[in-house]
Amino acid sequence: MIGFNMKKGEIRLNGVSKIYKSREKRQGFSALNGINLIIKPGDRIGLIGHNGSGKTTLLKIIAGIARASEGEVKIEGKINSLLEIGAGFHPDLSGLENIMLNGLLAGLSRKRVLELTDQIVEYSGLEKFIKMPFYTYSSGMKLKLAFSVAVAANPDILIFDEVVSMGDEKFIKLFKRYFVEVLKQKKTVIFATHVLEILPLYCDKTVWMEDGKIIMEGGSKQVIGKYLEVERKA
Amino acid sequence: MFGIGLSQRRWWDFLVTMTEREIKSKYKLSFLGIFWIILNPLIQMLVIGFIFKFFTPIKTENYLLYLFSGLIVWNFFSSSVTRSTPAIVNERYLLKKAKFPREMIILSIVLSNFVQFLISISLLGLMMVLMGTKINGLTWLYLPVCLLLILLFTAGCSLIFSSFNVRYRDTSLAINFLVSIWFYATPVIYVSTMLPTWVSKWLYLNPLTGLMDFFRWSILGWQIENWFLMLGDVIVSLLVFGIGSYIFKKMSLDFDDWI
Repeated sequence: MIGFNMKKGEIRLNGVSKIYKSREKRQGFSALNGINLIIKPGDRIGLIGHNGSGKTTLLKIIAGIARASEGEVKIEGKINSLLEIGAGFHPDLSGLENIMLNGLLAGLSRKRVLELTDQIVEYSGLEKFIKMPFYTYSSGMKLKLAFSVAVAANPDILIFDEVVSMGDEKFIKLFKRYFVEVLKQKKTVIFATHVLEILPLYCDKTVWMEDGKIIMEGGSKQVIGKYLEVERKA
Repeated sequence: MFGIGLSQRRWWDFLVTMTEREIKSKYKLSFLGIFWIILNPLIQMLVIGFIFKFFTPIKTENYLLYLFSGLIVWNFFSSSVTRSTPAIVNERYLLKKAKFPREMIILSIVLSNFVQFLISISLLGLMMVLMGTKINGLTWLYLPVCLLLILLFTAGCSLIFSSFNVRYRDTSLAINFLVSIWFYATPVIYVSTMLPTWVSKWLYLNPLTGLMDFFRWSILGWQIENWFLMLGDVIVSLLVFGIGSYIFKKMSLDFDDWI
């Protein structure tokens, strides 16, 4: 039985499937198929696989954004997800007002966000722009603010999708800087990416998905090695 | 109905912040800002009142008050519903961030319009004082009940339409069209007793007719012609809210699949 004695930052998926009925196919589109996965508190998991392998769907189900069609999803602790740049922010509101909105979505109380606001602004380095509307921000600035709120919210689980790490060199550098900072906090981290070279540096374990199934999981070097091997043969 | 959503304090915080945001973002970049809340019904009333004075002689005492009271209820309802219907799709960037009670988005829109409604009501009160209207003290006590019913009915409709719009995007187009017809099916600019009885009875199929009666009775002391039909509409309004909450809760679990 799962669900008992779970620790903060723990994730347990048991036979999780997802069928998108919205794709007006006869039986729907099966994005995930019987996923079993246990992630322990403090685990840093890399998620790899080709486009359409179900990575984003899996992240969304863990984040509680989407619902699993079948199976059990047990999650203990506060989650923060960075799946899309600008998610959880309102374009018309200022950076400052958005800190409140985003902080509440991250599970903080209004009072707590007010207490943390100065700290968040400082950490983001956006003092000069904090009263400007969010739509005027560059992708880099949006990322800075999202990270700063996420760090301040002190979640037990952090989920990243690759899209938030994509950009020009300067942007990727910025992402890495913040990401390393987050890793230091010893949270449970799940990171979906195509950039395989850097993965072993950040994640001790890697999960490889194809066609909505987990093909392999284990040490990052091992899994990535196998992935590249298969890739070369194909 | 929202027991699950509002059981945690932080979701109250969230609802308040979202409502503030809704009000702020509406007037933020506008020049006249918050004055639009007062200007809007006032100009509408003057224009319609002017036209009706000349073209359709409605022989009713205090037609302006009758008209204004109807317009503010109507404006609250129609702007809430038209703004809520596409809201889940429009606010997808919020849904893509975290798990939270999705009804907060709709309720914050309805509540922000409700704040405007309350301001309009105080404007109506001011007009009544200026025009020297006699105020029947007792019916005023029912005003909070009446406002709550209008709020619940509007929220119910907004929840139903917005959840359908996630799957069927035609909903928001249909609602825009429906609302323009709905206006004429509600005694806003005309008085239902002017119509033949068999017609005016049918009007009560529209819960807003009964709610409008209730509102004018409590605030203006206007007579209610048919208490039975009015109370029927009150019950239907509550049902609409209950059904709306249920449908929304059920459908919201899968919103992400469609946006």
